[in-house]
Amino acid sequence: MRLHLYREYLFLKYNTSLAIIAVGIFVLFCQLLHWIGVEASLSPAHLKNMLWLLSLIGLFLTADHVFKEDIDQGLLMHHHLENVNFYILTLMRFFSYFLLVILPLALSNIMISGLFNLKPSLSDFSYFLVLFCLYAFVILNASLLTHGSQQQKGLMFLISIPLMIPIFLCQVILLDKAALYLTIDNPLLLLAGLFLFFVPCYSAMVMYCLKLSVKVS
Amino acid sequence: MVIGLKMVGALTFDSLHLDLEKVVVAHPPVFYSKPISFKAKNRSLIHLVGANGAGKSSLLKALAGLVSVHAGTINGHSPKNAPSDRCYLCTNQGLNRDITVKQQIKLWHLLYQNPASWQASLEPFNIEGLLTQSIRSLSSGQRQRVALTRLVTSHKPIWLLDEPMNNLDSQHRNFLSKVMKGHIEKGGMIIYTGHEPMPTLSPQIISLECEG
Repeated sequence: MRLHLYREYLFLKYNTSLAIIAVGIFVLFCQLLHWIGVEASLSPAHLKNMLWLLSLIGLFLTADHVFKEDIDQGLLMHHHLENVNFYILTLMRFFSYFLLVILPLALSNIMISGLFNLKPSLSDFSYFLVLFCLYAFVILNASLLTHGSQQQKGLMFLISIPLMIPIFLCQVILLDKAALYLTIDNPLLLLAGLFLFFVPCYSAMVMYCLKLSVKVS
Repeated sequence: MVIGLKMVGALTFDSLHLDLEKVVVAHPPVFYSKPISFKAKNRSLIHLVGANGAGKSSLLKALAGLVSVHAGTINGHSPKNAPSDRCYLCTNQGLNRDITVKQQIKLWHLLYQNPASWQASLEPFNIEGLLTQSIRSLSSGQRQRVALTRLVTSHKPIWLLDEPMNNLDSQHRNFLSKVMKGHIEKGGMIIYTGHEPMPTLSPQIISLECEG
């Protein structure tokens, strides 16, 4: 465990630029939208969705770097040779990514919503965190697939897509349902349940992609 | 000969063996090596030689457990589980460019669960002066020296080295030779590739050729 903690400490220490990129891009685009005066022509619901879409761009721009150094420089190969648990490795790295990018994005979302006269709520904040964690897993997977495809036996990576599609579809359906029930008494419990169900699924997929990338490289 | 042997001293190197029987490494359909057989045990020092593309690095990867062989058998080698008694050093050095040398060595100590202090592994390759530098800022030779420190840190009995002398100056080639000699005297096993002879070492030479 000390190895994992030290790895993540180093990751957090040397990758603060990821947080700056994600939040910076988000704030920049929001500022542009504010200058255009988009809040006059859009309903609050649409504005909120637009902010979330901008957050998604921040996520897209940073997720590719999460395992890049590990794969490019052969660090994962040595972890693989030492039988390091890749599932823990994936979860720990995802937690670092959560602290570094997702949480700052959620907080900046709350702060910037004042610019567009939106009222931030706790359920929106929680929904954002759950949804973006799951999105981050999907993007992480896509990034690993792309990364692997750039190596010689790229097509090998495509075999993980059939694994990904049903889980992703299931996630979308359940999250839609959860969104419908957000007005009931304990929406956060519902979200937490979904979160606890999908995080292990996605971690397993990311781990599978990581192992594939080690094999391919 | 004590350089770099503080960590390996605690290990038992009894009954080390690697038996290769008509092993063929391949990248189908382009490349197939000629079948190769040899036996290695404690105190074996083997230099794999051959032209570029003869399959030296592929054979080392197979010995490390990273790829399976096309034909033949390697005793004690299981393709599903990486053998835990081997330290594999390849041309892709496995260094994290963002961090400092000190942090990299601490990371290896945790990875290999080395009970010795991390400072003990600095001496053989003379990297004390590089500790605070970022790996990204090092020259190729300095990076190779840092990468070689993994051998001492890993305290594994079998070393598989892919062109370990790359980018090293003559002084550090001598250091490497001393470390390798010390490991052999301690009862370890080394299989390495390279196009030049290692100073002061007398290895068993195994020649690899590709088919056709």
